[in-house]
Order: sequence, then structure tokens, then C-alpha cells
Amino acid sequence: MSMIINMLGPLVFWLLEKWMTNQEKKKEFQESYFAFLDAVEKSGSTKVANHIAAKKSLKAEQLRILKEKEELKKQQGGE
Amino acid sequence: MRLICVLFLFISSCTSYETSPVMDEEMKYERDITMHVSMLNGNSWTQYYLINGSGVMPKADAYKIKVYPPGKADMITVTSCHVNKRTPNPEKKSKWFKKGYYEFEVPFKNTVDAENLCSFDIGVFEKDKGRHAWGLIAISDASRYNMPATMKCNGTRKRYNGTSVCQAKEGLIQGYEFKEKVSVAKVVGCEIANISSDQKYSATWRFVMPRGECEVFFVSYDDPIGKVHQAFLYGYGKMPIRGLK
Repeated sequence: MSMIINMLGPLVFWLLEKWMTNQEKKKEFQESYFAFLDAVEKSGSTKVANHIAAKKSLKAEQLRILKEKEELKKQQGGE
Repeated sequence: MRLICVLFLFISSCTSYETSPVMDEEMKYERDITMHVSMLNGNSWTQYYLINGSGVMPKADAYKIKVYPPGKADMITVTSCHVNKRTPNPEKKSKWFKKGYYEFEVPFKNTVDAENLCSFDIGVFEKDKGRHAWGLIAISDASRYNMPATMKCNGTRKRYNGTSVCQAKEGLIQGYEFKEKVSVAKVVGCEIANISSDQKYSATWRFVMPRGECEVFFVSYDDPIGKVHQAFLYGYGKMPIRGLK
């Protein structure tokens, strides 16, 4: 019996060590993943900023084309 | 014998913890969720339409979205310019889980989203294993954006009425073709330069796919107020690789 315990002692120790390493790895991984999820959540505000910028740029482009055409008309009228 | 049993139980609980590939917060991953979307028009729901990763749905009163995650999911998020929702542990709520997919409803009529017409991002997460997948749905409203375009995106050719979605690897050349000459509205970070023409106005546009999500407007030279095409460009950096151990 004592021989079995002597043989199994190192195995138990090795398994315990492995289990602890795994737990550390898991904790580390989960921390990095939650940081990743936070970054994903922030993408909502980036989306809004991009959307507002796109809408503004559309208006600016529409006005620019209208002005350009008006200028062209004036130039053609002046000639 | 008892000792051996205890050891066996201990060993079986010690399977090693495998992490997924390292995630990069800055990385833009391909949108690749399979979604089935049904629209509510008045009192009736339409059939389900398939969207692979990204796509456009016409304006409706509400949408039912079936999401087919690539693995098990323990969180689903929906983000638009107005809404940020997440499922409360879907695997524990039987009404959320139906064989192989999760289904949820997104109201649209008379919402801030209907006023703004920005895209919906669908996220599927498996927090324990760190797996994730995304989808992108744009809503088209012909009363606002109605200039048709033929899109040549990531090897496919598709015609869209007024709103389109193009998803491709960032840095690759994509194309849009119109029946008339158009220009593109410039947005910082989403600049589109026409590499097929030096002209400011062109009916054919070839451009290098920008990084991440870009909402871009093509504007008609002949009718800049009345004819506009809304394009959602999504330039991904990586395809998510799944199933690694």
C-alpha cells in the first residue's frame, strides 16, 4: 500500500501543478477576452461617429457639386 | 480501489485548458455568420432571406433574425447607431434557443434607427472559449437613397438599388458601376480614390478597400440631391479561423 502511495505521490503533485497552471492560463485568457469584448462594445460609438461624418460629407459633396455647376453656368453665361 | 477511483476522477477533471488564437482588439475580422432574416410588413412576416456574413434588407416595420453561430454561443449582441442589446445568457433561456440557432426581433418602424439608416452589427460570442463571429446588415430605404449600382465585390457581381454592402479584404481592389457620372463624398479614414479614372466624376469606380467599416455616398453629378447611392464598405483584416485546439 505504501509503495502505491509512494508511486502515486509524484503523479498527484504533477496533476495538481498542471491544474494550477491551467487555472492561471484560463484566468489570463479570460482577462484578455474581456478586454477584447470592451473594445468591441466601444465600436458602437465609433460607428456613430463614422455615420455622422458620412452624412456631413454627403451634404458637403451635394453642395459642392451644385456650386460647381452654378459657377460653370456663370462662366458660360459670361462668355 | 477507492484511491484509484479518486485519482481517475481527478485526472479526468484536469484536461488542459486550450485557448483560441490570440485576439487582436485592433483587428477587423470578416463578418461570416449565417443569418436568416424575415421582415414584418403590416401584420405579416415574410419568408426568411439568407444573409451570409453581410447583406442588405429592404426597409420594414421590424425584423426577425435567426443567427446560426459557428459553435455554441453564450452571448449575442446587436449594435446599431441607436441600439446596443445583448442576450441574457441565451443558453439558459429556452425561448432564445431553438435547434442550432438563436432568434431575436429588432423593431425598426418609427425608431431612431429608421431615421438614421446606419447598419446593424450582430455579434456572437462564446466567452469561455473566446470564440466570436459577426454579421452586418444594412437597411435600404429607396425613398432616401435610390441610385442603382452594380457592385463588383470580392469576386461577386451584384446589382443594388440604392444601398449596398461590400465586404472584402482591406487593400484589395473593388468596384462600383453606375449608369451616370458620380462623385464620392470624402470621409476621413474612408477616402475612396478612383484608380480607373483621373476624372472627378466617373460612372466606373475602382478603389482600394479601406480598413474597417466605412459608410460612403456616391453622388450623381446630374442630380446630386435626388440621386445618391449609400455603400457600406467593410474591409476586414483577417478571416476568423475556428476549430483550432
